[in-house]
Amino acid sequence: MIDVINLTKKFDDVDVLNGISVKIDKGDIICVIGPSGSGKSTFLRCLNCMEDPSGGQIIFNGVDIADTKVDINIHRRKMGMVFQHFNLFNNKTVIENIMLAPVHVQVKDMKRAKRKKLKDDPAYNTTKAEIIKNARENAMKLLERIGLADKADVYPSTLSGGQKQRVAIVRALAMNPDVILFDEPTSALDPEMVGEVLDLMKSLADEGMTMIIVTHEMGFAREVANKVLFIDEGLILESGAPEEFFSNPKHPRLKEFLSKVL
Amino acid sequence: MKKLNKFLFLALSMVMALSLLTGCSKDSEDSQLTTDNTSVSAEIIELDLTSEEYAFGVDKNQPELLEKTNTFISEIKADGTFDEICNNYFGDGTPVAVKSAVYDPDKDQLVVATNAAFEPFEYMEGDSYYGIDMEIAARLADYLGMELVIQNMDFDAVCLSVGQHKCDIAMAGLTVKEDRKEYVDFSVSYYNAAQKLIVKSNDTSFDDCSSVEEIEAIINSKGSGIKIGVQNGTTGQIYCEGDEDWGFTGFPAETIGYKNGSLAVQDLLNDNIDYVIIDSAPATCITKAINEMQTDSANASFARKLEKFKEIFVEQDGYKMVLRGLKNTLLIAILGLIIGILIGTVIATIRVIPKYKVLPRILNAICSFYVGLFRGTPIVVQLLVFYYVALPILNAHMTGVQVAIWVFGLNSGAYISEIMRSGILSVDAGQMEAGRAVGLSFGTTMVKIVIPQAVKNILPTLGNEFIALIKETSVVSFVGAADLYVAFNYIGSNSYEFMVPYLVMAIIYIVLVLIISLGIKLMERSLRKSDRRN
Ligand SMILES: Nc1ncnc2c1ncn2[C@@H]1O[C@H](COP(=O)(O)OP(=O)(O)OP(=O)(O)O)[C@@H](O)[C@H]1O
Ligand SMILES: [Mg+2]
Repeated sequence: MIDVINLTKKFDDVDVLNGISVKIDKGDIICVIGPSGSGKSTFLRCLNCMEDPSGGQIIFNGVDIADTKVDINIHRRKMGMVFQHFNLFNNKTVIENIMLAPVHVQVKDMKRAKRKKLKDDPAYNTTKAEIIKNARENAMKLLERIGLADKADVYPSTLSGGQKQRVAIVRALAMNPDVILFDEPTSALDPEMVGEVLDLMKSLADEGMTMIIVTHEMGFAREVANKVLFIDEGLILESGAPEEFFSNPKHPRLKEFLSKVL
Repeated sequence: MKKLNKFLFLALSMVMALSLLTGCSKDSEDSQLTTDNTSVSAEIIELDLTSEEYAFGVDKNQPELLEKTNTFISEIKADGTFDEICNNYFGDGTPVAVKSAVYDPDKDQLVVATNAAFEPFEYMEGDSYYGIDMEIAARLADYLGMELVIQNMDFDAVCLSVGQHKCDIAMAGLTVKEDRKEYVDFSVSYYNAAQKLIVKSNDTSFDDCSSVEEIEAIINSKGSGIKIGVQNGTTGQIYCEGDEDWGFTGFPAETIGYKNGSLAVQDLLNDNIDYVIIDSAPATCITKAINEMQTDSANASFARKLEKFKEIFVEQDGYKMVLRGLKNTLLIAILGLIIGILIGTVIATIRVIPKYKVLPRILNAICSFYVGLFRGTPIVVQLLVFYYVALPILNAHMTGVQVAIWVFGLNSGAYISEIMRSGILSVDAGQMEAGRAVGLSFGTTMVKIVIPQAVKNILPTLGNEFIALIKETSVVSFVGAADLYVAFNYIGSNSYEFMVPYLVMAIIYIVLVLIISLGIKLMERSLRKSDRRN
């Protein structure tokens, strides 16, 4: 589904990614680990072009999205992202946070279909009110799933960190993405809230969602991932299934890293 | 609660300041505010400093027109029509617009040659003519039963065109002079343009003067240390400053220009200037009105000033002007603010777009130029340039209020763009990232997520900008927009008394600003709903 070929990234003159190649299939749960400053976040942010790659290709559903000529906004709809600091929209209520993007893109599609008179396009026959109604129902379902239906109309500033991150995850889910990228989703949380977020991610994994997760939670990686990547100095130094990866590391840098964190 | 207290305190201190002012004048003679002036009044020195006879120049081939014009002049002088017209320019009347018909040689028309750049005798506003000569011309045409055509030309061409029989009559504040009699037959003189000297009644320097030369010698002997008040653009000003063409040598004294004669006389009595030199007709009515007030005791004087203010404010519909002025002031400030916010937001957005590509860089350069231009020039200059330079070049017509709205909008756009930019930068970058990550474009994220939060952050600063706008609108009279200041100035010059009108104006401004501050506080509170931190 995602084919990363020889991805490089420079900030000014600093080489951060030095040629990363990896293949991600549908349903994969990939955990990315590595020391601080090794380029994990940069790798993840290059995947949905939050940072423009300096070189290489990212083939997503058959399209090279590293090419600056493609309309990245279309492809990002199918690539959710969850941030370390949640980044919920502060000026929107919880349910508005979830509904905003789906409503916006569907209304845009509808207008386009009507303008171009695409009678066969399903978007042609909807109305804005209908789109909003469906988005609200869907958002409520998602909120019920995470047990926060009663918080639908409050502003994010009144939520706890764990609640915010769970809302952020369902916000990504609301777009029905093909893949969700997580950048250290639990590192900003108090320890007692880490569990609720990891549980939600596990249940997504069980449903077959494709996920790429940068994390320091080795236990979680071992339990949930089907593939673990070790990145250091902008390169994938080792990758493999978690059993082998954790119990029998081969690269000396990985051995050193694991000895420190485990 | 704290805010309410502050508001109450302000209101209270205002009331105290007011009662202090009125209390002051209720005290007897020792009140600082007025004692110096109570015994002093303004006095006209009854000698004509300059003397010019104005007359109309009639086509030499039309002796019957000359005759009729002479009869007409004596009639309007006798029945008060002439005084009434003069009152429109020197007194409390309103100038009447005069329209010119299109020239048509087949019609029975009175073709008047003039040079419409000589206020108050002839000048233009839009495509209408105003001025004493123009109003007389309209009545003369009526009297003759002809249609009026006004031909506006260089002053040098006025006599010539009548001499060449292209026009019937020259009406252009024309001084009777020998060399002009070659071209035209002069009517009887209708106006004696004399300048008079006004001094304080306790100034005895000129008491023994019997000729103009003696007066001029005394003024000259005082050197450059004294100040003479004049009305801007009048013969009096030219007389004081000197001009070869007019044959005036001028005085070494400093000349102070006023918007009107009564402000000058008021300033004379306030000891800010030494003499006033203005046209004799307005000089008489101004000194009379001001002296009436000055001779009263301090106490009665304030009461009388209030009385006078009330009279003009209520009975002569002054309140309507004030309401209109208030409406214009608010209109200019509010629409200016809205335009400013729109422009400011667009510029601020352009300035935070990442600049890898060429287009954003060019746009950014244009915006920097715009902001620099509007922040680097005074608002008055912008108003004048827009009104007198840009509009004629673009061949566009706008009222003073429209011009003011646009200039204030463009100007505050420059300031608000900086405010807005800091507001945008104060919003966590994660908000933009989250928006982009769900597939929204830069623009959509900006409009739906970042700018609303930015606006909330800068609301107090925006409120201050609005208050500044309200106060700054007092300069729009430069382009002929009638705001609060113009309204009160009108009341002041019609009552020859500025203390009460200006005081009331100040109070209105303070009340406006307090109301706006309160409104902003309420708005801020309701916007804070989404933000528990505050
Ligand atoms: N916008 C940027 N401009 C310049 N340098 C950057 C930028 N973003 C990241 N870097 C640099 O790139 C390197 C890799 O950063 P990155 O955030 O990808 O590391 P990381 O592996 O995610 O580390 P951590 O575990 O601390 O999050 C760092 O040296 C960082 O300083
Ligand atoms: Mg990181």
